[in-house]
Amino acid sequence: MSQRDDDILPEKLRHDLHDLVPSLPGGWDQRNVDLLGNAHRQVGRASGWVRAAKRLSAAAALLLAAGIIWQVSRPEPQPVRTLVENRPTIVDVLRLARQPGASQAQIDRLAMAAVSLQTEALQ
Amino acid sequence: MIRRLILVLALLACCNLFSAAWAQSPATTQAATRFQVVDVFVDSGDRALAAWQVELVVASAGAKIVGVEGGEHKDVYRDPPYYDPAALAGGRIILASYATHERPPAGKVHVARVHFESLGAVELNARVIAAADPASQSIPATASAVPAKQMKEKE
Repeated sequence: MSQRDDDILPEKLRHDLHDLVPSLPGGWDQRNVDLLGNAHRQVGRASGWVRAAKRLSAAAALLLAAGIIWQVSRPEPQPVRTLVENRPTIVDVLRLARQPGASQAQIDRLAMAAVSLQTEALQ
Repeated sequence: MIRRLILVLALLACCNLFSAAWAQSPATTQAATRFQVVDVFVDSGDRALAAWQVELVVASAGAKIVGVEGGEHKDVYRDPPYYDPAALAGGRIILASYATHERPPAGKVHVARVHFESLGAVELNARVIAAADPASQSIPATASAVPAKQMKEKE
């Protein structure tokens, strides 16, 4: 509704309408522009959040995939693998445990190979 | 009519005898089964014992390994040693452990305790597969397995 429409409204109806919408200052045009602008701003904010969320989720998926690939493709240190295949003893486990870079998982694996009856039977 | 009555009574008597025998047989087996505990020692003489690996072979029939726990030294080997869980089903097990402690003990060290379920006394053969000092050098050592105490018999 334009300013002209507002002007041609009967006086009483105009007062009633202004009473119904007391919080919106200015004429009808301005009110329409304000309402439309607010709606556009809200939609714009919402779509901005959606875009940011999509980008974040894509980045997280890429990071996850890269982590999985790295974990699977990471080769075990050659000395540990060789030791496991060559019937280790607890002395080999002790030597490995004293190496600075040895992980507890590697130590446990070597120790289990040392005490495994199945590994012994295969030698 | 009398024949049928006699037949029914005979069947009832048979059932009664069978159930009595069924109930008695497990009790007889359980009464003979008992738990025994064996302490495993490794003696490395005057060399510090930083790692040990011992093989235990059950020489007596009817004995089954049911559990392994650590030794009672105040500083080292208190945690259960490494062993193959599959060995619990048989009469042979390999135990091993190491200590990164700066000064591991020397002499006769209580390194492990093994629990058995057996019908009689447990006889064990223990031998050292490997032993090492803190420098990861192999050292001579001997192993022994001594019955610790007898647990309460199964009732």
